[in-house]
Amino acid sequence: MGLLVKNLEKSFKTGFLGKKKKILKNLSFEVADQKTTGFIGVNGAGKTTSLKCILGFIRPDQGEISFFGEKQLTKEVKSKIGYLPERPYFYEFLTAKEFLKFHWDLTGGGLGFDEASENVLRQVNLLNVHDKFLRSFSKGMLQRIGFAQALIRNPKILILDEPMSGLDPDGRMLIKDIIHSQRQKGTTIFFSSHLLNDMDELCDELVIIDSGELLFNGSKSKFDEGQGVEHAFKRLRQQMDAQRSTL
Amino acid sequence: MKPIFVLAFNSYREFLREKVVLASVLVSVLLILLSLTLGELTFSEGTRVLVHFGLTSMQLAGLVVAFFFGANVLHKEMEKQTCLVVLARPIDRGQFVLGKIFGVILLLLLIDFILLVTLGLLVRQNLGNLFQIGVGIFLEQCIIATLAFFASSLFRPAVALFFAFGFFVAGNWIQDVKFFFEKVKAMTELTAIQWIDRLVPNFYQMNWRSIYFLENGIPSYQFYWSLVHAVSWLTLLCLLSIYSFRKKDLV
Repeated sequence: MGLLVKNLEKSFKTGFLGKKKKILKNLSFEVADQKTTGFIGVNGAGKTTSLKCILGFIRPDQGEISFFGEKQLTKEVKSKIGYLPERPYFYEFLTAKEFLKFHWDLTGGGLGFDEASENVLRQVNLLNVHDKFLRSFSKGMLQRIGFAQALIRNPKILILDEPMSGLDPDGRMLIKDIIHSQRQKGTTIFFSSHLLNDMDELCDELVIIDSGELLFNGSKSKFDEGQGVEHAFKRLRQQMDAQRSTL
Repeated sequence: MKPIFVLAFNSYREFLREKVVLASVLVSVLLILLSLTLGELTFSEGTRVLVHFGLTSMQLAGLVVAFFFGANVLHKEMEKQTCLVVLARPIDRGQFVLGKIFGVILLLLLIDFILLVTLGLLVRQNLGNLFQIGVGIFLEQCIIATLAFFASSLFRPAVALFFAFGFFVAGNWIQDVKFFFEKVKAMTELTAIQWIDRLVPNFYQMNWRSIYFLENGIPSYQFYWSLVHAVSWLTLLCLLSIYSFRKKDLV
């Protein structure tokens, strides 16, 4: 198992009185090894919070998270993870190559950087701007350099938070190509999105949440029964709305 | 250790591109040059004016940088979420905090070095004393930066700034207040001040500007005591910052 999430709960204090609001409610799911798993949910469903809990940025109130059977997010486990955040804000004073070098050095440094950086820059189509400062990059280029830093150490698992949001068609196509090629290489990919067509195209498995609760975890074919993710998702929403109105 | 150095060097490069650094150094160099002219207006006190002006401007430049970066660096990382991709790497939050603090300290070292060398080239006497005074100023700035950093792990930058400034004022002038209460025999206030004195860094022990013209300089026991005092404070504040940042949710 690539990633296993068990009984994850998280609340945040809100408002002046600090009333607690539950964002994740006993969330459990698994991400199969060497498969591409889509993480679906409407805005505010808890996708980013879940990903941040998984990566240790947020402490869950309870629950268990394990990567490749390891229950602790140790340095060894972290070295197998590539992560792209939702908002691609990076150190703007660095050039694309310096930015990659910084991440290379953070993961232990060593020989082979030139080759690795050239490889990933070519993959994300930024080789020609390797010496340009990130401050001069467009949003799409930042997203791509973010992807490059996630790939530079050949991660075993890629965790991507909305990797295609705000990208133009060319940018989306490029990211999809990268996801495809990583999938062929056997990398486990777990990415969140609310773009259902992309999910249809890229995913083998799906995790669907709503208001911090799990709605579905399993293979895409089981979920959409050959009718497409968008159609199946609409049906699921209608069922939920009907359930809520009877309550 | 390597990730700490990588982070420190990266932060140092980031800070160097901030306009506030260049502005502080330029203003200080201008003040030193102005003190040359002012010295000419005095009767045989030119060096004294130059030394006092120079050291004060060096202290101020470093303090501006220490307050500014100490209070802002962590907040900026969290607000822009630039720390997320870094913390997803195999480093822990403690290393991240130390990297950032060492980045500010490296910057302070550079600024103090530039200004001390400029001053040294102008006065060309008692350079040993000048170096020791520079060390005192540098230690004070390091503690202030780390104080502001620690406070910024708990509060907003503006509050962190006030917090660090409060310590700066207390640490520098508490001896004068103590002396005042001793003279007016206000025993309750004196006890309170003595307690505060134990809880704040003794910056007045690192202020050796008046010894520049003394032949023997600072007694070595006082120099080393201040060094140990400063290192102890820095260690404590680093540990507190690490503890506080580890508890934080990076929402």
